Formats: sequence, C-alpha cells, structure tokens
Amino acid sequence: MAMIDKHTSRTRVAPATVALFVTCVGDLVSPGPPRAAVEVLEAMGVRVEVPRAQTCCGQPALNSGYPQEARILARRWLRTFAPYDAVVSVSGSCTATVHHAYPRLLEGTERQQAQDLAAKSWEFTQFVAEFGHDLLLRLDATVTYHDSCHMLRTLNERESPRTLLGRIEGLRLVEMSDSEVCCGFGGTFATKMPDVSVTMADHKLVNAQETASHYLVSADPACLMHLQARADATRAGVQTRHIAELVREALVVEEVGA
Amino acid sequence: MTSTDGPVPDAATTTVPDSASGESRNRRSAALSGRERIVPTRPDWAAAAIPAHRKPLPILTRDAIGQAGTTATHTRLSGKNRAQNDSGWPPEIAALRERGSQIRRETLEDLEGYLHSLTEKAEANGVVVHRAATPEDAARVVSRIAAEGDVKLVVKAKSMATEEMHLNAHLEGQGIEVVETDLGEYIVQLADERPSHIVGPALHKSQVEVGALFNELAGQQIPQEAEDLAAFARERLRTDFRRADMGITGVNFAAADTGTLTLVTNEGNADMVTSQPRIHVAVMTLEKVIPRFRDLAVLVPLLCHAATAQKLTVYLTMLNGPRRKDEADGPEQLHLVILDNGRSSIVGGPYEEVLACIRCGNCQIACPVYRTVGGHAYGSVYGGPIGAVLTPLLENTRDGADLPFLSSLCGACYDACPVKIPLPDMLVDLRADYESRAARPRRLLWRLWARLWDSPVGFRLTVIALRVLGPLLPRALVRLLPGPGKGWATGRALPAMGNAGRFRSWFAGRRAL
Amino acid sequence: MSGIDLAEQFRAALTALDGVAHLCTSAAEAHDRVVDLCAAASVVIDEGHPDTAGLAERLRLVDDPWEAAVGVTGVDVAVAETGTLVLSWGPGRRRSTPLVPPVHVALVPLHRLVATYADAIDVLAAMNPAPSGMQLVTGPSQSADIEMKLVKGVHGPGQVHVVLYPQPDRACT
Repeated sequence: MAMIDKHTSRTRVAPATVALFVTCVGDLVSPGPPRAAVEVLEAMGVRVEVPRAQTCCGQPALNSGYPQEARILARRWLRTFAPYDAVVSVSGSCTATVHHAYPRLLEGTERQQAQDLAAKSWEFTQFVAEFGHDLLLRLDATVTYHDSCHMLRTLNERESPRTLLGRIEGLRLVEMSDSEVCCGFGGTFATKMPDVSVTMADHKLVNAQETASHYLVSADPACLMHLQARADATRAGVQTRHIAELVREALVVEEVGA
Repeated sequence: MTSTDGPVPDAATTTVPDSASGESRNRRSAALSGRERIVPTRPDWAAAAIPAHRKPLPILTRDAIGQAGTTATHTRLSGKNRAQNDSGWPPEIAALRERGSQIRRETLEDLEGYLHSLTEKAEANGVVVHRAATPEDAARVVSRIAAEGDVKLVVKAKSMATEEMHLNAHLEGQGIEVVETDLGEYIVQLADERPSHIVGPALHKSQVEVGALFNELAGQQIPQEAEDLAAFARERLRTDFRRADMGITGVNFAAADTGTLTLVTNEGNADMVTSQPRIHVAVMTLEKVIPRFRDLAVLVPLLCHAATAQKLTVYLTMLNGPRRKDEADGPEQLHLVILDNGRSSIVGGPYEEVLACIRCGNCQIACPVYRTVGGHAYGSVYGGPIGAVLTPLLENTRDGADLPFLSSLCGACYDACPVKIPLPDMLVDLRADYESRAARPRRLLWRLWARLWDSPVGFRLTVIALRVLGPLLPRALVRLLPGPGKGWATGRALPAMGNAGRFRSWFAGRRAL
Repeated sequence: MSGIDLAEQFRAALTALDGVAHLCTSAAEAHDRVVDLCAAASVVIDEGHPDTAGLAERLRLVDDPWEAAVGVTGVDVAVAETGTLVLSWGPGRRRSTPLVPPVHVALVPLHRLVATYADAIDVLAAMNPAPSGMQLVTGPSQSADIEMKLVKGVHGPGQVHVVLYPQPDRACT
C-alpha cells in the first residue's frame, strides 16, 4: 500500500558506513545480490558492515499468520541494526516489512524505535539512486523490469530502479506489459497455492519474453528465484538478474594511468 | 421506431387468475421459458447453489485454472484492469476518494443511529421497513410479502445481499418464478451459475458461450452478434417487466436524513423493476446507509468511476416511497429489508473498515489472483479481496475462513479501493486469527522456528544444515517433502541447494584482505 | 456560464454517450422539433409538466406506455457537465414515460440547465415536499455484460433526444 512517502534523504550525502541487511533469502539461497550490493556500495565510497547477529526480518511468520513469532524476530532485527546510521537491503519486501509491518507489530517505545530505524532503512536501488550519482556505469544490454509488489506499493517506489537503470550507459530498458502485476511468489503463497502461483509466473514470463530482452530485472531476490525456477522448469528462455548484480556488472573500473 | 412488446416465445404459457383483478392473465416468465432445455455445463463449484462442502483451495484453484475459458477471462480482465487502474486516480476523483472514505467511516461511528433515522424517515414516506438478523430471517420476510401479495412472478435487479440470502432458491421453493433482469445476472441464471463478479456477473463468459446459451433457451439458432443477443434478452425481459407481480432490488445507498434509496445501473432494469410491478422489495445490508442525501454528490461519482470507469452510470434511481394517490404508476407497496448477517458484530472491532465497502468490484479487477482463477474459485458469495476478508467475518458462511490465504498480498486491492479499506493488512490479520485456531503441532513448529532464528547460533545451524544436506539430498526426495518441498516443486525447478552461508563466508574473506 | 455555454457543454457530453442534443432558437421551434421526432408514431407524454404544454394535441397519443414508440417528458433540471436529465415523479409525470418506450424525447429550456452533478443533487435535496422518486438519466441505456462489448437499449430507451431552447422570460440559473 502506498502508505509511505517516497524515501529520500535530507542531506543528500551518503552516510560513511552502512549496515547490510542480508535477508534470510540472501543467507540461504541467493548470495549473488548481497555480494553485488557490497561491491557497488564500496565503489560509492561507502563502508559496508554485515552485523553478525542478523537473521530474518520475520516476514514469513507474519504473512503466515504468526505475528507473535514475527515480533520476536522484529525485536532482534531492531536490536541488531539500531547502532547504525543507515541500513541497506537488496530486498524490497524485507525493507517494506520494516517500514510498514514493524510499526503495526509493536507498540509504545518499541514502535517509535521501529519508526526511527525505518527512517534510516533503505532498499538498495533507493540508496544508490539517491547517493550514487558519481558511479560510472556502462553495459550493453536490453533489459525489462519487474516492479515487485512491496517495493512498488508499500515503499511507493517506482522511480529509483528506473533512475538507476537510466544511468547505465548503453543499457536499453524495454517496459513489459503489466510490469506492475504480481509475479505470484507471495511468500508462503508460492507453496500453499502452487498452481495459482506458477500460473501467475507464466503470465509474467510471457510478458517478459515479448520484450525480447537479455534480462528480466527486479529488486527482489525472492521474486526472481520464483520466476527463474518456473522459467527453468518450462524452458521459457528467460534469464533473470537482480538489479544489484546488473549494476555491479556495469561498474566501470577506471584504470590507473588511463 | 420499433414496437415495444416482444412476442411470447413459447406456447407453454400458463394463465393464472389474478386475485386482485380476477382476470386470467399470463403470469409465467417469458424470459425463463425454455430454460429446461438448458443443460448446465458449469463445474459444481460454480453452481448457483453453493455446494455444501468445498474442496481445499489449492485443489479448487487448480481445477479453476484448468477450466476452458479461464485464460480468456484472465486476458479480458487484465485489459480491464489496465484500462481502469493503470493511471491511478485522476485528481478530481482522488479528492472524492478522500471525502468518500471519510463519509463511509463517519457512518460506522454511529451505524445504529443512522439506521434508526433511515427507518423513521422511510416509514414516514410510506415504506415498510423490516430488520433481519440472519439471511434466513430476511428470506422469510420476503416470502411472507410475496405470499400475502399473491405473487407468482418476480423480476429482480442485481443484489449481492439477496445472494447472501440465497433468495432466489427460497422463493422458487415457494413456487414463485424469479427472473434476473440485469443482463449479466440473467446470463448466469440461465447457466445455473453464481455471479463471478460484484458488478459484472458474467465477466467470465465469452460471447460465444452466451450465444450458445441463448440458442439452447430458444430451442433454435438465433443471430450471434452482441447486439442481437442483447436484443433477444431485451424482448423476453420486457415481457416479464410487464407481467411481474413483484420487483426485488438491492440498494446502493440509503440516505438516513431523507430515507431515499438510491440504485445505480446502466441498463435501466432497476427502473423497470421498481416502477412496473405492484410490489417492490428493496434489500440492503445494514452498512449501505449514508448520513445525508447530499453525500450522493460524492459517493455516486466515486462508485461509478471505481466500478465502471464512468462519470455517472446511465440511470440513477432515487426512491422515497411507493406510488402516491395522484400518480399513475409505481408500486403500491415499497418494502425495505435491512439485513445484518453478522455485520453489527464487526462494528467496533479490528475489521470495522471492511464495512466501508461500496461494492464497486474494483478490488476484484485489480487482484492478480482473482484474474487468474476467476470469481467462482473462491467458493463463496463474495470473491476476490473483499470476499477473502468479508467471508470469514460473516455469520452464515460455511467454508471460507481460509480465503485470506488465497492472496499473494501484492497490495493492488488497496490502491484500487475507492474508500481505502486496508484489505492487505486485514488479510494478514485474518491469517493470524485462522492460525490461532490451528492445530497445536503447527503452532509449536512456528514457535520453534522463531526461537531458532532468534539466536545467531540457531540461524547459523540452519545455514550449515542446508549447506551440508542440500547437495546431499536427492532432488527427487526434496520434491516429495510435504508442504514447502512439494509445493515449490509443483511446476518449478529447485533452486541450487548449496549456496547457504556463501555470502557471509565471502564477506568475511573480503574483510580479511 | 451562460445558458448557451451550458447548452453547448451539455450537447458535447450527451453526444459523447450517443445521445442526441437539438439546440433550438425558440420554444416554438423546439415544439416543432419534438413533433418531427415523433413523426407519426404513437406517443406517451407527461402532461403534468409545464414545459410540455401545448404539445399533446399535436401528437398521436396513446395511454399505455407499452404501446408507445416515443416517451416525451420535461425535466426538473439538466446537468451540463455530464449530459444528465433529472426527472421527478408526480401527477402527470410518470415513471414509465422516459423508460418504457424505446425512444425518449426530453424538453429542456435553458434556464433549467445547471453546471454540475453536485448542483443537481443540491436541487434535489432542496425539493420540498420531496417527490416519491427521481430518476437521473445520462444517455441511452447500455450494457457491457456480453464479453464487455457495449450494446445500447437494454432495457431502457436506446435513443435519447434532448431538445434545448431558450425561454426569454426565464433567467438562467
């Protein structure tokens, strides 16, 4: 739900240090996007720390009907990331959980803490779009972009990914039909209602194929995991890529003395 | 200028003495004449009479996806969604949305008070007002009115409240013919199906299917262009408007300060149903009351925009009371039935805002799950996001407590809602309600998982377990694991299983440099 | 906005919905237009409305709206922004007249035009005593229930003609 104003910084100067929120998907299944995020952030001159104590934001529990369990993990998350000036994550839905779900889950001072920390919590493309103006980016490719739901509707964020993609010299963005329609992952929905979930993936994959792009790009590793798994099972010929990995690939390394 | 009265299509018409006039006149439906020729082809879960037991949702939705026509419906609804919702709310409508959201919540602050005022004003206008706690009570009220009025034929305009009451079946059990006059409702009635969408009951039907249906009804091939099919329906239904003893409608808005009942249609069938028969029964659920007649200046354009992307529908019918002494037409009796069905229990609770709903059906169009499986796959009177929230909360629903899980929580419904009902948050909260009644083992498992991941050591153990076991477990075995394993493997390849922990090892190595 | 401007706005709105607006220069011309539109067809007319005075004797009247090819009415007000006609019921102003015959012809002197739908709601709210009912009609009847294809004339009139004309002795609202 677009209940949140678009996240921008008052200072426009990147914090010197950020904490990377890896997410359980990043720790368990998809190490590529957080790895790429580290490299891009460091290229921006930002120091990245990965707090060891982090585990999961609790979204799976919340969306499965277990708010008490989600609260346990939310409190851990807040304790872990409170000391930092900024938190960056490569998952739009996890960042959205912090922004929207944590204030609903908590009360009193804990809610205030959540809101304060949410104000310092960024999704990766938001952060790079806001602070990474000096990055030199070049990549000869055609991509199409899938707007993941929580980033689009909860974080109210349609622009930052496109702004970022627009800074990549040589990159062509071809918008697909229904880019804003859900891919069908939906967390536990994917395994609870599998036929609906994969049919929705098929609709997304057909739309992506019609753009004849090299990559289907998104800012949510979970969506991409689901879409790629379906594409592989049906040999749909679609190659997904997380936007962090695309940006990392596009980083132009200035050669010394060139 | 064409003649107005269509030919009587079937020789088997019955004349019945009219107790009022004593004459013998034809009181059988022309529109339904020949319906015994129609062989229903719909699956039982789409039937007009909701089956007593519903299959589990994963199976029901799989069946629905496999139905012929589901993909075509998805394409059609996706186009409608793009046309209606892609560009968001135009500025003047956004302003109405703000104001409309306030008005609907204002009503909930004193629902009983507004209903009291509505009742007083309506009764002063000559309307007979009946309050019904349950759908059965409401159906009995209508039955009694019909019996006392010697009613044999009823014409109906669309009403979701009457769907909650299963009213048609109830009246038919009394030997009364009930004819749905909204073209989409008429189509699904002939097909013996439930409406699949709040505003467009036959959105799931193609023109070819409608043509075949009308051919069966007519007992012969009729012209199949959309205009011809519509003309066919018009002829038969006009005959019934004229013949009917009683009209039944819903109510879009009931103004508490004047007692005015407002109906919003494009066809004019509500106007016919409320003007031609001698008895009119209007059925509303109790949250349809609005504080002031003037609120219609906000709520009607808001509803028309959200429901059909129109500035205004063709007809807005506003009723204050029955025909007056010096008037030449109109019903002699006007009844208002106000149905509760558990809604007064929702007021004051955490889901109260669901009662702000103005039945535009836009959340259904906006929902990718609804578009993918169709309205019938929800197995309930109301489908889509509003159905997934309302059904578990109403009193007379049998299955349906699990409908909140038939959603990917994408949030499109909130964006599409003209009165800003926080449907996604409600779906999450309803899931918690459902799980709080779940079996202890499941709840324990989740608690264990949370405790495990509440400790870095526990989380690390998970990572190690997955890293080690993942590549070892035969993929075939993982596919067979109940729940997540099997659920994932339905139509998807398994992700690479050996990546657990790789990021942190890489990062640690990098830092060490 | 002047009456003429409102009339033009009304015409644009109604035309977009496949209704027909006739802008006449006088009441007499308007009456002639109505007679032309009815041709020799059978007509029901709301004689209880002041704006139809004098028309009835020029038309082939029938009593039963179900036998009529055309229904002729006046209006309470008409809305320029949307092309809407606002009618109320009473003695000599029947529910069936604008509804049952396949063609509806409405007389709208310019002073009865209001700018917006909200204005029309204000007018209705102020009616005292309130009538037994009102109907707001915006163009010909339509349905999109057959595969979302738009068809007209299900179940109300498929043709709506609105005859607009100035009445010099009445100022515009």
